[in-house]
Amino acid sequence: MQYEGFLKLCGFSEDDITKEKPRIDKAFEKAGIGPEDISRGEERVKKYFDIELPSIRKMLGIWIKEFADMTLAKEDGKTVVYPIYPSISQFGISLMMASEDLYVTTPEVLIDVVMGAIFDKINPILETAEQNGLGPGLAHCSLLQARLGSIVKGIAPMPDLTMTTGFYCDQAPKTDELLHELYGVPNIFINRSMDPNWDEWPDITERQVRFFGEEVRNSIKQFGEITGFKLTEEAFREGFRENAKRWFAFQDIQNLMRNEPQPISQNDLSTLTFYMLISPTRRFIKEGPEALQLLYKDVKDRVDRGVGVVEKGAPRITYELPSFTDPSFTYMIEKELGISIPTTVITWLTPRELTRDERFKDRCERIALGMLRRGIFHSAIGRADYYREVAEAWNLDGVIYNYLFSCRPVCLSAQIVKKYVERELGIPVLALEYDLYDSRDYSAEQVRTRVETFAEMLKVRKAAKA
Amino acid sequence: MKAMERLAEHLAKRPMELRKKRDEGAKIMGYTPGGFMPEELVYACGALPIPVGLIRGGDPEPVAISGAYIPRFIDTFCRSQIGYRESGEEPLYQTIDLLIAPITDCNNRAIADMWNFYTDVEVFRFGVPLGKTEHGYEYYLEGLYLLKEKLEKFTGVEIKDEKVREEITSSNKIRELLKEISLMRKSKRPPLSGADFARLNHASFYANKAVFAEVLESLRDELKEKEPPNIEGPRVLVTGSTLAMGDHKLYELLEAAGATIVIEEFCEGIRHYWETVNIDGALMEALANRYFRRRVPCAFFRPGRERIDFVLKLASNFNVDGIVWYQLMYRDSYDIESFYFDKICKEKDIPMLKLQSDYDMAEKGPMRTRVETFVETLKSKGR
Repeated sequence: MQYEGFLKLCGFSEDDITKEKPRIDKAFEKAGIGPEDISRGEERVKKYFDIELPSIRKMLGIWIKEFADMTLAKEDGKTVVYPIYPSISQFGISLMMASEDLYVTTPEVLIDVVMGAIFDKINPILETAEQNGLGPGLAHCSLLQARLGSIVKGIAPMPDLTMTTGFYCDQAPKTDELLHELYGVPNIFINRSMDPNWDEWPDITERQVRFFGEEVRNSIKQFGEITGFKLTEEAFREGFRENAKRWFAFQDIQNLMRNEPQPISQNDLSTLTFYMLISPTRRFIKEGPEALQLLYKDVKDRVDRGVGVVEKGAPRITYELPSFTDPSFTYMIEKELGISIPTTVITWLTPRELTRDERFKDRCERIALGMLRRGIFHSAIGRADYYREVAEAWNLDGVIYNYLFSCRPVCLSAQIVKKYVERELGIPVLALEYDLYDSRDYSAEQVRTRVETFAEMLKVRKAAKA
Repeated sequence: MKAMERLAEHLAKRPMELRKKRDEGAKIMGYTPGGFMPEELVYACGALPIPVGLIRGGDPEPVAISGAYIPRFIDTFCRSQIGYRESGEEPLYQTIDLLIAPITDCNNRAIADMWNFYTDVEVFRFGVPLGKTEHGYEYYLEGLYLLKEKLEKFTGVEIKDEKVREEITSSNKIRELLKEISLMRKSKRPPLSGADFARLNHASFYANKAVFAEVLESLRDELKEKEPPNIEGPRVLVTGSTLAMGDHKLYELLEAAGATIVIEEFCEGIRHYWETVNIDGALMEALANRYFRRRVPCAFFRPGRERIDFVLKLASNFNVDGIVWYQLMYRDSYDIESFYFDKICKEKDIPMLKLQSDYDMAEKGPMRTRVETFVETLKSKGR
């Protein structure tokens, strides 16, 4: 199959093509990606991602190469370990540091971005999952459907171990238990009790951190026992360092988004870049720092030139996240409706999260603390207040709470987030039932009327304020 | 049966009685279901625990009302709890001074979140780790100490060991009596229908303890003497996430189709009676042991095999002919588990029927057809 043009769009040099194409050929064959899909992929990449920027092309290239690495991991002789999203990214990176013979990733994120966002070929994977335990019509998380479906279809190799962070949802651990029951895949479960009392936020109680930290610690021990690979103190430290470097580099780019006009789209910043950050991949460890530097340069250049993707003065909002599989949603908001999305709630680290807490020196506890400080993971009131915090810090005109309907911890707080932010800040919030990973029922067109009306309202309010 | 009549009379007056006690200064505690809240602690401070959420369910109206507060993609039972409260029609829900919420899965947590945000009732949460590890047990035990502290502060009453011991003894008695009565259904001719046992069990959540214990003793004696009915139909085990008080349709349909429900296993809505609290040694540890370590876990616990093995053991011990899996909409852990539980049942040649409900009256017709077909299938297999 000839698709050098597509690879060049994704930032591949001639050398890259020579070296990587044979692997990508095999990966595409496994995934059933044919000429029609490549053609569609090319169109989508040109339409939804800013390929004018060398850094975005590089990001696309990293995704494609990582996809090949994932599908061929077993053939490459790797021991395959799958953490799950939401993942503890520094932990995933640390696991990879343990040995070159380990392949670690959250396959569902990789599958969603490559098979979904790029090739728009996620549906057969979701349907496979629906026939294998995560049935339709029951609000099962479509990200988990991507995980299960891609493993059953053999696109993502059957793992040697799954590591489920149950610190947030119940479906993720149960899905991995399903894999254990049906296919014998060993599983490590990292637990955490979502029991903070509402009057505790934003303080994080020691007992919660210590419990969650202990769970992380135990999982390291179990990881060693099951895989035979030891996560050394050095690898753990290295993982922390590498993760911090990337997060801070990303935050520098994120902070450039405060400028108007919005310099790049959330499709580029979040879908292509942030999702790589949260899904630990070896390619991103190797090529990520350079890619992030390049992205910073590209974005800074746009800021200096006063160039952007949305008009200056456009109403500014935040939302949960862009769709992992369907960039047309964000495209609709930014390009078609002219609304700026300078940050998502999840991609920006609040100043509160960046302060040191001297109570916790142990690395596992620091992981736990980091997660709990993210209001979205803390509790329903933590989530609502986190939205408030972001909206206030970024001086936003409104919020689109595009809540993932099939995620219990997210959707249960839909009305709470809306009412709380409206009450605290006096800005409008659109609580939009949505699916971040599956556009069969929740496409951009499906929600257009509501989003359009909201956009018009924001514009009128902004004009009136001016 | 006289005992059941006596109980019905008592329950009819109970809401007024509780209201009166509250007016006289008693504090009324509600608690979210799941069986992780040691009621002995609440009784030991003189307060009255009423199981908010443990009893009421099955009605479509509270589900509809809940739509203004929470999206529909949360477990039906959990959603309806804010509906019962905000409708103002459920007197028990209006009398609560403190809602105690042992936090298990996200659906269950939604109850606490809704009450926290939309009502003026104080909510106290403590965590139930979803794995029976040693430090999970320690976390849960610590939560019980925090609960004790909270109760003492809220009521102004010190919870003394002798009082806790007393309450454990009386609660143990109730558990033992329920178990004794339940085990009678092992016989070829169960003296008590599944529906009656479920009603009895539900009553345990808000009846006066002493009255309830007396009723159970009388009922046990009556059942021992009574000539049991001639049962010809297949014997069925019912399992799932929640069997609420008011959600009678499944039992009605099964019994109308000629099946006998001989045993049930639900995480929520049914009081767990298989284990008592062992009062030798430290009391709080004894409570934690019984309420966390030794109770059958729910489907959202990891690993989940303990629950599956327990259900299969019940099926064997009670000589069931088939299993009905009854889950509520959007209870994700249960739905996923039902997929491989079905395969396990097939391997063991145990017929299984999976049903789900959103407390919608329109479900009853299709459900009846499926239940009748299932029961006929069991009959045709000579079961």
